[in-house]
Amino acid sequence: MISLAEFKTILPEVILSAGAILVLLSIAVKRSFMTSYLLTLITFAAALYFLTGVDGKGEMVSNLFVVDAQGKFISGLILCSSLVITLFTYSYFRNVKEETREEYFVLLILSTLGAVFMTISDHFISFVISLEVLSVSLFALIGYLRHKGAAIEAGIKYLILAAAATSFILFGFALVYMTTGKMNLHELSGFIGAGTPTLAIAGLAMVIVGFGFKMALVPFHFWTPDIYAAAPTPGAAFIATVSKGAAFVFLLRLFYSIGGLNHEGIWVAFAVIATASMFIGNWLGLRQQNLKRLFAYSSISHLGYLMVAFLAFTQRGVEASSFYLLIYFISMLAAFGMIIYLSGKGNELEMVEDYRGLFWRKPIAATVFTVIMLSLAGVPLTAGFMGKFMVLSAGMGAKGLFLLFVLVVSSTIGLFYYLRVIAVMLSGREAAQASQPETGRHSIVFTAVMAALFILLLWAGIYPNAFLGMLG
Amino acid sequence: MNIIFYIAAIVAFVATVMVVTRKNAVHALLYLIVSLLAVSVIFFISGAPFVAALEVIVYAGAILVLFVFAIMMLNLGANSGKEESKLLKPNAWITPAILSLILLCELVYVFINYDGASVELRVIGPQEVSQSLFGGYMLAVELTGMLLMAGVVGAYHIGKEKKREYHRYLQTNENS
Repeated sequence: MISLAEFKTILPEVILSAGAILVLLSIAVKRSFMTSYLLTLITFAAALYFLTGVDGKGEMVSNLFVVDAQGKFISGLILCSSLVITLFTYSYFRNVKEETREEYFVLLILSTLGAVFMTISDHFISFVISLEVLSVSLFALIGYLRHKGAAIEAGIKYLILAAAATSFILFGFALVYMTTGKMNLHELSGFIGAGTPTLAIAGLAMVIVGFGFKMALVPFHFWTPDIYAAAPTPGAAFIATVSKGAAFVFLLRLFYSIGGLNHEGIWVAFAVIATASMFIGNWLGLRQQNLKRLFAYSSISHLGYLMVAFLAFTQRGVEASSFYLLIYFISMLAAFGMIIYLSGKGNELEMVEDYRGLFWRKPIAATVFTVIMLSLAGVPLTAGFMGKFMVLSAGMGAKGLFLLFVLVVSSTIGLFYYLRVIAVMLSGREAAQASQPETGRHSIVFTAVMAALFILLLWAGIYPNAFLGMLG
Repeated sequence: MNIIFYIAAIVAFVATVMVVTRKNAVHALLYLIVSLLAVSVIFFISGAPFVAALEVIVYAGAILVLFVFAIMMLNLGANSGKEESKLLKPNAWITPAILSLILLCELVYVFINYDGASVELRVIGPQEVSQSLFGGYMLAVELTGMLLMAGVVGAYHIGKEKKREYHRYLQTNENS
C-alpha cells in the first residue's frame, strides 16, 4: 500500500491519469475538439503546479519510484514540452477534417504519463510498464492520420521495432535479475566490478541495444526519418523530445547507479555508439531535402552529443546532460513549431525548397527560424552553444578527449546543412515577391508560444545561469 | 527437472517458429497456443503453479480461443463451409497435437515423480502473488491499467470504420 506522503509525491502523475480519463469521459458525453483541448491544457498545467510542491530529495514511492532532483527537473521539462505540444496540436489539427481529433489528446496525456513515470522509475518493472505505456500510445499517435498510407506504415514500423526493442530490454533485465536476484536500482548500486558475471554484462549489452533504439542512436536509427516524416508534426515533435529524453534519463539512472561505466567494455560500446551517432547523424543530414527528415538526422547527432555528457560519469555529467536536454527540447520544439506555424491549410511545408525566399515574405518568422537553426547548429550567443559548452566541459577528462574531438568536428559538418536551410530562406527574392504561397494563420496564443521559445533560446545562450540554477 | 525444462523449452521454440512461418492464420494460432502451454509448463516446474495456471486460463484459454473463433467467424462467404473443413485437415493439427502431447507427458511425469523433499524450489502460491500485486506492486498494476487504456483508445481509433451504416430504422428516422 502507499501512504499519504507517497501519494503526494506522485500527485502530478495521478493528475495526468485522472486527466486522461476525464478527457475520455468528456468525449463519451459530447465530442468537442475545444473541450478536449482545454481539458488537456488544464491537466498539464495542474500536473506542473503540483510538481512544484514535490520536494525531490530522493523520496521513495512504494519501492518502485524515486523522485530525486534530476527526476523532478526532467519531469517538469517533459510536462512543459507536452503543454507546448498540446498547443501545437490544436493549431495543426484545426484544419484536419478527415479524422476524429479528440482521441489524440487522450493518447498525448497517456504517453506523457508513461514518459514521466519513466524518468522517476527506480525499478525494472515500473520502467518496463511505463515504457510500454509510452510506446503503445506513441504508435497510435504516429499512425493517427489514417487517411495517409505513409502514416499507417510508419505506425506499424514503430510498433514492430518498439516491441523488438522492449523485448531486448526485458531479456537484458531478466539476465541481470538472474545473476543478482534484484530489480531495484538502489539495491543494484555498484554491482559492476571485477567479479561481475559475464551473463550480467551480456544482459546490460541487450539493454543498451533496446535503449539505442528508443533514443535512435546510430546502429539503431533507421526508423527515425521515416517516422518523423510520416507522423503528424506535433507527434514528431513529441518523439523527438519527450520520448527520447525520458529514455535517456532512465539510461543515465541505470548505468550511473550500477556503476556500469566502470566496465571497460560497456564504456567502449557507448563511446562507439556516441561517435557513430555524431558522425553519421550529421553526415546523413547533408543531402537531405525534406525538413522533417533533416530534423530527424539532427536529433540523432544531438543524442550523440548527449551521450558524451553521459560518458563523463560524474555529477558534472548529470548536470550537463540535464542542461543539454533542456536546450535540445527548446530547440526541437521551436523547430517543429515553426513548421506548423508556417504551414497553411492542407499544405505542409515539408521540403527545404518550400522555404525559398521566406526572408522576403515573412522577415520576422524567417529571423526566428534562423536563430533556431543556429541554435541547433550550436553557434555562439544561442542556447545550442551553451549546451555544447556544458557537454564539452563535463566531458573534459583523460578518457573522453577523443569524444570531444569528434563532437567538435562533427558539429562543424552539421553546421553545413543548418546553414543551407538559412541560405535557401535568404535566396529567391524575385520569386518570393512574385508569388505569395498561402501560409498558416494562427491564434495569438500560438504566436506567443513561439515568441517565448525564441526568447528562451536567446536567454539561455546569453545568460545561462538562470537555467543552471534550476538544476539544483 | 532440468531435462524437463529443456524439452519444454524446445517445444516452445519449435511452436513459436511455426507461428511465425505459417501462412494460414488459424494454423499459426494453433501453434501459438502450444507455445503458451509450453511456457506454462516451464512456469510450473520452476515453482510457480499459480502463474502457470493463469497462463493456461487467460492466454491459451481465453484470449487465443477468442482469436481462433474470431478468425473462423470472419471467414464468412459463400463457400465458408468448404474453407473451414480445409482448415482443419489432419496435417494442420497433427504437429501441434504431438507437441502438446509431449507437454502432457511431461506434466504427468512431474506429477507421478513429485516428492516435496527433492524439490529445492520454493513454490509460490496464489496468496503470495496477490499480496505482491496488491501490496508493493500496486502502482505497477494501476499503471498497467493505463497501458490497457492507451491500447484500447489507440486500437479504437486505428480500427474505426469510416463509413457509418445506419440501421434501416434509424435511416428512415433521419430522412423524415
